Formats: sequence, structure tokens, C-alpha cells
Amino acid sequence: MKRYALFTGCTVPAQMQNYEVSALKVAGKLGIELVYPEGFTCCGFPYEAKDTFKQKTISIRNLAVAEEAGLEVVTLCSTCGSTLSKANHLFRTDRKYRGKLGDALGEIGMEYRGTTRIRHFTRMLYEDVGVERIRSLVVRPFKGVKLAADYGCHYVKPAAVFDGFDDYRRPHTLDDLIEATGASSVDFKDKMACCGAALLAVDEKTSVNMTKYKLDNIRASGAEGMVTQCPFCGIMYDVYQNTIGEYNLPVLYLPQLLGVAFGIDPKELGFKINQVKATNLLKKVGA
Amino acid sequence: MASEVTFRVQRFDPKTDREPRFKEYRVRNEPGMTVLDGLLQIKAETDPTLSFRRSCRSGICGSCAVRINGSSRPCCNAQINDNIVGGRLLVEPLANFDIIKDLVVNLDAFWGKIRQVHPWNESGEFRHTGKALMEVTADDLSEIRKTEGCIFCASCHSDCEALRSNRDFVGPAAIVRAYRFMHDPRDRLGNKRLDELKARTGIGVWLCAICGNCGESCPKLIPTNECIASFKNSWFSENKAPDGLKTTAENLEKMGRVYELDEFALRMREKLGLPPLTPNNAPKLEPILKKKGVAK
Ligand code: SF4
Ligand code: SF4
Ligand code: FES
Repeated sequence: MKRYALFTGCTVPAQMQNYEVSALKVAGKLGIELVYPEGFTCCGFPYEAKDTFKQKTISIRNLAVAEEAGLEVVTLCSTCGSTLSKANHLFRTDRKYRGKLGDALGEIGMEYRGTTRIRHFTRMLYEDVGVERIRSLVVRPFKGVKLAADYGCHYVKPAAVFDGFDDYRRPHTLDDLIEATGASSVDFKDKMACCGAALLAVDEKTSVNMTKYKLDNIRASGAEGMVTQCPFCGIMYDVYQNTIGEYNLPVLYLPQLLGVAFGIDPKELGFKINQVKATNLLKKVGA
Repeated sequence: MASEVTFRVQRFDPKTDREPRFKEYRVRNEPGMTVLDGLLQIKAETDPTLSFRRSCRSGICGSCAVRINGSSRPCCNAQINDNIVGGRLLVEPLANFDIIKDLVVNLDAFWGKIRQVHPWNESGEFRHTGKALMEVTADDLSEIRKTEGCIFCASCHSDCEALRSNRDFVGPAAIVRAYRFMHDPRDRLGNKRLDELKARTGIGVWLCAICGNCGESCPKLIPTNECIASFKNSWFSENKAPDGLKTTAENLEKMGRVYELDEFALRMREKLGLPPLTPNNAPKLEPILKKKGVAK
């Protein structure tokens, strides 16, 4: 059985437990154990505005916790993944920075050797489980269902810290996993557009305009649902959707989609938390 | 070996078109050809009415940027063979600008933003101090060099997610420019630039949505996001950050997390059978966060 340290971040455990519970269920089905090592905190992202060095220290501290536990990190949030990977990349490639970060960690009695590997949950599924195995487990195929993939900006950016596992301009890993359920992942205008979440606390109007832009483009594509893998995208597209317009577009987290396809009871996948109800979509596949 | 490739090019002539339209051209593709070479071939051999900007053809002048398959960059800096998607190559004008004709856009908005940030050194006083030289250290120079390579191609501006939804945003290129002068020891304005920048650009750098596009589109590999974050850090240390972001940082300091694991969240976790988590992580981060000052 493969084991990974699950890095939940802040948003998922407090607000998007549907993402967390479905990830655990899907992992269980695939024989993957996700453990919660004591000691993880916020990834550090929100501190970028205040103090980028302290931000990196927070990230590296989390990586030291995983190193100590001897586990690879799997994140649910695209931004957590990118923030941790950025700090890791700096630590590994910039000697000066490495020294400073090492000192900062030493002051709190910790040490990091730079060995922790970080991947997004989706990437882990894609690389370690594989599209074929996932396809073979589908008992409720989403045949003929059109879905729109939402990656989250930081799933693949900055490209330099992601060892090129996917094309940051036109990523495909999430699309491939969506299609493994039998659904078709539709193309739509400016598919990699940003949800605007980072501006929610700064200028709500601009933020919501950004969300609306993508929702409009998805609607124009004829998609019946959206599949995301980033909790903050989830907040913008699902929780805020009704305040932006009448889209009626259910927003599923990837493991919710996979869970349903694998035959898991939707009740166990946290669908209650989804604001836009996926009832009609689920009916289509007999769930 | 020469092959053929289809260029799907956005056309628009305000005299005859109501809306942009697409036209496809077959291009002889020889090894080593850039997207600009393809456009030049079309103009020379097939359609002289196609308009686009170019000058140096070697990634220096910054005039030839277009969107290739949706991402912006100087097209003399892009190989045809690296950019063929599904047998063809999509060429559109830069986004976040008004189109003048075909691939030529009106860059006034871009230059206007650059002008906003006072893009020159205020070093006049030195000429009269009697001192012959002004010391510029290697560290100073490396800060300047980080951003000095900007060729004003406007690719970052075109790919900016925040600008698409709010054209008032000062934008990445102007911030990069401001950073360059902010870190030049020959400049006499120094920190005064911060206030000036704020006065001139309003909400300024804070409108960046941190999408990361500008860093990827920059042909000169300028660390745009680092520049943006550095301005934010400076303002934050002067207590001039937007309230929402102050609250977020305070939450992190108070709880080690941004969102509280309140009663409701804890009950929901229990109901779903999720593992218990430590609600307050602050003690773990306190030794890191309590240190004074912004480290470099
Ligand atoms: S990171 Fe900020 S400045 Fe750069 S393109 Fe995105 S929104 Fe614009
Ligand atoms: S920062 Fe880079 S992408 Fe932006 S205008 Fe300058 S060279 Fe072009
Ligand atoms: S023609 Fe000068 S940069 Fe492309």
C-alpha cells in the first residue's frame, strides 16, 4: 500500500470538506493511504503579500515535517502545491537562499535536507495510479456527459518548479482523468483563465468579474458540469456562482467525480456541501 | 525537410469588418523557421494585406509580440515546430488592447502605464555635487539586471488575468519598470517612489491576481512575480496593505491557518468521518513570524 502525507492546507479542512472526504474515499478504493502527520500548518501562500521570506520559511518548515515523517507530500490545493514547490525549488537551486532558510529553520530547532517531494493529488493519480487503471475501475460511466476541466493557475505555474510534468499552457492531465470516467472534457475559450480568488480580499468586483468570465465561457461550451481540483476555484465557481448569475453549473471536485464513477454512494462523497446541486448530473449516470 | 503547416490568423480591418474573423494560410515550413518567418512568407507570397509589426527579427525590439495558440510572446522568438497544435498554429493579436488592424494593436494603454511609474532616474543632483562617481555595487547591479532586460513587448500585459477584468490595473510591465528604478542607487527618489506609485496608480500592485502568467510569458525571463511581491512587502511593512490582506495575515498569525476550524467545521468533519485536526497551529509558526522586519 502506498502512503503519502496529505497536505490539506487551510481552505479544504475548514470549508471544502467534500474535496477532502472524496479524496480519502477514492484513495481508499485505489489502495492508497493518505496520512495526516502532526505538524503541518498553512502552506504560507497568504503571507506572500506581507513577507516573502517568512512565507518561504513557513513552506520549508512544512516540508521538514514531511521529511521527518519520511513521506512524500500530496496536496489537494493547486496553490498549496505551487507554494511548497516554489520554496523547495529555491531551497534546492539557490545556495544563498538555502543557507538563509536553513538558518531560519535552525532557530526553531528544525532541519531540512531538501528531500521532500511534493505533488498535487491529481498528478499523483495520473503518475502513480494511471489513467488505464482508473478507467478499469469505472462502474458508472459518464458516457456522453460534457464536463469542463478547471486546473487552477498554480497546478502548473511557475513552470520552472514543476519539472515539466504537464504543459503549463495546455495541460492535459486533469482532462485525461475526466475522460477516464467516460465523460468528454470540452474545450472552451481561455480554458486556463484565473478564478480571481486572490483578489477577493482586495477588490471583490474585479475578482468576481474574473470568475464570471470563465463561467460564461464554460456555459458557451455547453458543458453540463465543471470539474475542479483547487478549493479556491471551488469557492469562486461553486459558492459564489449564484451571486454572479444563473448558471446552474454543478462544480465537482475531481475525486467526487471519480468516486461516483467508481460506484461510491454520493452521500459518502460530501455532495451536501456542494452549493450548486449535482443531482441531475448524477441521475444521468444512475447515482 | 520542408513541410506545410496551416496558420490560422485573426484578421480585422475596421474599415470593412464589424468583427474579427479568421483566415487560414498554408505556409511552407522549413526547419528553423520562426512564427514571424511564417507571417512574412504569407505577406510576401499570399496576402500582402495582412498587417503585423516587426523590426529586429531577433528578440530585441519587442515589436512583434502576438498570441500564439492563446499565449503571448514575440513571434520572432517562437519556432513554428514548437507551436503546432492539431496540425495548425493559431495567431491572434495581443489581448487586453484595442485592435488597429489585424495583428497590430493600439499600445497607448501599455505606454501610459509605463509612464505612470516615473520610468527614469532622478539623478540630476549628482551632477553638481562635485563627486565624480556614484558607487553601484555588484548587488545593486544584479537587482537592476533582473529587470533591465525588459524589451517592452507587452506579452505580460496581454496575458494578464487581472487586466482582462480591470483595465485600470497598472499591470506587470510597469511594475517591473518601477522595480528597476526603485533599486537603482543612482536614483534620488528612493522610497519616495513608493508613495508616488501609490498616488499615481491607486490600488496599484494589489490588483495582481497572482495568476503567474506574466512570469511565463516574459521572453526575457524577468521574475515579474518577485517584483510584484517585493512592492507588496514594502507597503505591508508600512502598514499600507488592503484591509482584507491584513486580516488574512493576522489570521495566519493567530491560528496558523487562514480559515478558522470553527464549531461548524469541526462538526462537519466529524459527521463525514474526517480525522481530527489541531484547530490552533499558531504556536508552530510563532517563532518564525514573531521575528522583526522583512528579511531579504
Ligand atoms: S501574476 Fe498578476 S500581474 Fe502577472 S499576469 Fe497574473 S494578474 Fe497579471
Ligand atoms: S516584462 Fe517581459 S513580457 Fe513584459 S514587456 Fe517586459 S520583456 Fe515583455
Ligand atoms: S521583431 Fe524585434 S522582437 Fe521580434
